[in-house]
Amino acid sequence: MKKFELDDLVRDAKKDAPDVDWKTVDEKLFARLEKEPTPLAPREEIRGGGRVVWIGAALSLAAAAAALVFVHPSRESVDTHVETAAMESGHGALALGDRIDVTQDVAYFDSPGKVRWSAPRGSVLRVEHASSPLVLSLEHGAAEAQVTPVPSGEAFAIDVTASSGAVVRVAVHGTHLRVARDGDNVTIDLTEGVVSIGAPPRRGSTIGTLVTAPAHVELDARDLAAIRVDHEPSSVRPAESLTPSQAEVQTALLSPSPIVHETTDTAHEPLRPQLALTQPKSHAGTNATTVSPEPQWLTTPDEMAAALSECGRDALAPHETFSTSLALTVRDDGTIDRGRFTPPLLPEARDCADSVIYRRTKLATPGAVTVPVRIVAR
Amino acid sequence: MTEESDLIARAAKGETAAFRALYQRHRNDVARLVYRMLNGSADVDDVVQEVFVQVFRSLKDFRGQSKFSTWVHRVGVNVVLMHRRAARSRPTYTEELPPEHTADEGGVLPDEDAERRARVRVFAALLDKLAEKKRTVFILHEIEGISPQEIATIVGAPVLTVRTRLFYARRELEELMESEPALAAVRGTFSRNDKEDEP
Repeated sequence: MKKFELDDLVRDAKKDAPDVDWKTVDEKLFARLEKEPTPLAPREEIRGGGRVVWIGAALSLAAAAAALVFVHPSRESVDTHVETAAMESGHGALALGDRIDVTQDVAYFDSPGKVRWSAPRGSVLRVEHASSPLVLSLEHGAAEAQVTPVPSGEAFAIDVTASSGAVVRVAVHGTHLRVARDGDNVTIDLTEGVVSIGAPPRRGSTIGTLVTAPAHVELDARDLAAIRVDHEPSSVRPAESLTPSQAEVQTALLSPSPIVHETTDTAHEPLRPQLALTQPKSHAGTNATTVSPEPQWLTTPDEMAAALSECGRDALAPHETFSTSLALTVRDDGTIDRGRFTPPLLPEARDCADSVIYRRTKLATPGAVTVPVRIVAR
Repeated sequence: MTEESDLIARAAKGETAAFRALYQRHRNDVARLVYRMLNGSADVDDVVQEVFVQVFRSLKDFRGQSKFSTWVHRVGVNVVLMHRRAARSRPTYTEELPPEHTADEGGVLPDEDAERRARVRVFAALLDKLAEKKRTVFILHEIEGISPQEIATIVGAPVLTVRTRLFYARRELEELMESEPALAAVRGTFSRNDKEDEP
C-alpha cells in the first residue's frame, strides 16, 4: 500500500457509498408502517385540549390516584380553575398537557414514593409526560423537587425551553434539586444526588453534563456549552421543605369544600381534589430530606461490585456475561467523584450504575479504587 | 409554512403519502449515515428501515426546534447505536483486525478502486476501535461534514463536549495507527481544524 495521509483515508471514506436495495427497503418499510397505529395528534394539539390549572393560594389537598396537590392556605384567594377536555374521572392526577399556573404562595405536589415537588407563586409549568417519569416544562418561575431514586432510568425531569427554541432537560435519577429560570437564564441548586443536564433525548436517558451534589449550576438555555457548575456548598441554595406544615394541613382538612371551580365543559369531570380521602402522613416537622429514604451505603468495592452486577442483566442475551473494570476516584468523604468503565458499560446498565456509584456508595478509602464488575444474564 | 413542514405536519397525522415524500427526501442521507456508522455492515438495509419506522413513530414529538434533517440524523444515530449495542452484547470482541480488514502490504490489489476499498476497510476497522461517542462525532463531523453545533443537537451534548470528543478521537486514531503495524504506512495527521477543536 502506498504511503498516504490520514486525510486521504477520510476522503476515501467519504466516497464510499452504500449500495441499498431501495425497492426491498421501500416495500418492507411501508408494509410495516401500514401495521403501525396512526400516530397521536401532534403535541400542540394535545396541549390545546389539555387542562389548565391555576392554583391559587388556598390549601387544596388533592388526593388522587397518583398525585397529591398541596397549596398553602389563604381561603379568600382560592382560584383553582380547571378547563378540561379529557379528564381522568374524579382524579387530580396530572395529565399530559396540563398547565400549572401558581398564582400565589406555594403549590405542593406529591406522587407518593416517587416525587414530591413544589412551585412558588408566579411559576408556570406544563406537564410534558405524565406517567413515570414525570416531565415538567418550566415556563416561568421555579420548581423544587425531592425525587426517590429509581433502580434504572430517570425518575423525574424538568425541561426549560429557551427563547431560541432549544430545550434543556434536567433529568433526575434521585435527588433534591431546585430549578429556576429567569428568561433564558437557568439556575439549578442540587443539594443531594446527581442530575444529568442536556438536550431531551428522543428515547432513553438524557445524555449530558452529569452534576453531583452539592452544586449550584447556571446556564443559558440557548447554549448548553455555557454551563457553569459551582460545587462550593455555600453557593448552593439550601433545600426547602416540600411539605406544608401540620397546621396548614389541618386548616385544609377543616375547609368546607374542595378548592376547585369547574368553569368549562361540564360533561367532563373537574379536577376535584378530595379532601382527607388520603390523609398525608404526618408531615409536621419533616423536611425535604426525609422524603427520600436514607440509602444503605455501599462501603466496600465488593459491595459495589455486587450492586453493579445487577445492572443491565436484562440487556444481556441468555448465558451471556459482560465483564468490565470500574476505575473510581473517591472523595475524602467516601463519595465518588468520578468513575470510568473499561470497556464501557452496556448502555442499558448506565442509569442503574450511576445510581449505585453516585447515590449509594461511600467507600472507606479515598483516592483511586478499581472495582471489577461482572454482569451475568438473568 | 414551508413545504417540508407541511409534509411533516401531514405525516405526523398519519398521512402515508406525506411520510413517503419525507422518506424519499432523506433516505439517501440516512442510508449513508447508517452505512458509515455500521462500518458497511450487511445490516444497512434493515437499519435504514428501522430508522424510518422510528421517525414515523416519533414524528408527533418533532418540535421544529431543529432542522428536520438534524432530527432525522438524531433518530438515525440512536437506532444505529442501539443496533451496535445489541450486536456488541454478543461476545465478539477482538483486538485483531478481521482478515478482510488487513491490508495487503504486498501491493497486489487488482486496481485502484480495490485499493481504495481496502483503505476504507482499514479505516473502518480503526474507527471501530474508538469509544462509541467519539466514533459517532468523528463520523458525523469528518465524514458526513456536519458542524459541531449540529452534532451537539444530534447527540444531545454541549458543543464543547462534541469538540472535545473530536479532539480525542483524532488523537486516538493517530495512536491506533501508530500501534498497528499493518497501518504504519497510512499514518498521518489531520491537517485541518485541529487547533480549533482542542478542548
